Amino acid sequence: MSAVGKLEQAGHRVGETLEDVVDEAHAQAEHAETSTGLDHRKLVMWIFIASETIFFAALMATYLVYRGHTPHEEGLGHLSVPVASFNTFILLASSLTMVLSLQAIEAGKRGRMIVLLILTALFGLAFLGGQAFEYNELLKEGISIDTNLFGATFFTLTGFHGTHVAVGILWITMLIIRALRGGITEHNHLAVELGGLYWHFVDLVWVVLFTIIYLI
Amino acid sequence: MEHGHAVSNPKTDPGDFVAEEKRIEKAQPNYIAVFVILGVLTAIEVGITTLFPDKTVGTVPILLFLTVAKGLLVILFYMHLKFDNRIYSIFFGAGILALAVPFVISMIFLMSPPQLISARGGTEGGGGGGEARPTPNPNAGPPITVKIGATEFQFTPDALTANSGQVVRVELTNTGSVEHNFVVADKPASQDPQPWVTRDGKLIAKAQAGTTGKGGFTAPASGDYVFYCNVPGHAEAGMHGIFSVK
Repeated sequence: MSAVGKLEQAGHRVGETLEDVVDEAHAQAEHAETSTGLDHRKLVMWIFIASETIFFAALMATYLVYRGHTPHEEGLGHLSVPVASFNTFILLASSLTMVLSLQAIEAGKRGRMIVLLILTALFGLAFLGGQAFEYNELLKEGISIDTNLFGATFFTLTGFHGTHVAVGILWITMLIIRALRGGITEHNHLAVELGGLYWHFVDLVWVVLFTIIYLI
Repeated sequence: MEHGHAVSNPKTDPGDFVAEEKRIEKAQPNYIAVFVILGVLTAIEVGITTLFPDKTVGTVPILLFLTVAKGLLVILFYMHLKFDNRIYSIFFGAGILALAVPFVISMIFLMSPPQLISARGGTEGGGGGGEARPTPNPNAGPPITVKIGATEFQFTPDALTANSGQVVRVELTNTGSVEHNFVVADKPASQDPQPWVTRDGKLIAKAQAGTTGKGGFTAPASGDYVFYCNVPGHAEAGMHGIFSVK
């Protein structure tokens, strides 16, 4: 065997060993006893979500404070409720497919989980598409982030939310890849639950944004 | 994964995460029903906004109530807080009730409009140069609606007037056979007599053939501004006019 061949073999062995170590660490974490009796990864996820709540609260408060300072004709009057409603339904549907994917893997249906995760990511992309359409319409009508107070607060608020959706899509894509490689099973699916918590939180934020921006 | 001991005595095993998952699995919430309810609540919200576009008194509390109901459905069922350990609810609830909500309320009260308006008046008063911005004008008068006809290739009328700071609502009726729109230049005509060349201006309204498009804007500082159709070739063919601000 050539030297290159031996190196490749050694590389594979190292890779396999590392994967074993990671799997073992995951397994240990699954079984570890904690002082709270809770899985710390999930607890940290909830603490992260609580901090995100405050982050979005600050942006929403800013939006609400400046809301009345731009004439309706130069701000809110340019928004399209039908487009936003479509986006709302899309995001609500994505939350459904996300939670169903968790239910599927809990029942040991890995294939069904993967399909539902793919659907969730596609719904997420459709939402971003809707947002891109909305932004484009606003820009065409002369409303951008530096036009007035409405533009500044609207684009900042919805832009950060859209960024969270994009991160969620990346997260779900990584879950899909991990699932395809066999890293998510009926007994080891916390990653899907954590990804789901994040995704539902992003949906939750939109539920509030939809009302305070487009309806009230 | 061996969890026999955990299932047999879930309450006394502090490290047992499986018990709470079992609770969720056992509960088997009907997620599709939750989705349907969320969809119906959203449809009601949109319906209320469509039926009462003037946001008459009473719609805002109803809309906020529906939003809270939708949020709770997502949190309790999709995020499983109804079935999960209460410690998660405490962390999340603390984030919302102890920090986020008081923060939003205090910001709105602390930065109440009168203070903000006086602060803005102080900082913007000395500004100048660049684009002509709407200036506070006590004599601006109530909002006006201007009806403009658009066809190939002219606006009727092609001269409009308003007071600086006055809200101008535009109804653009397209009687032609192609799309037209109504753009008002940001810079006065003295600085930019042909804004369609420099692509200066804001799109206020647009209308497909045979339709009416609506929009609006606040009249900028005194001066003459060019308005035009920014569909390529239209302004060059004559679709422009003068908007005089007093």
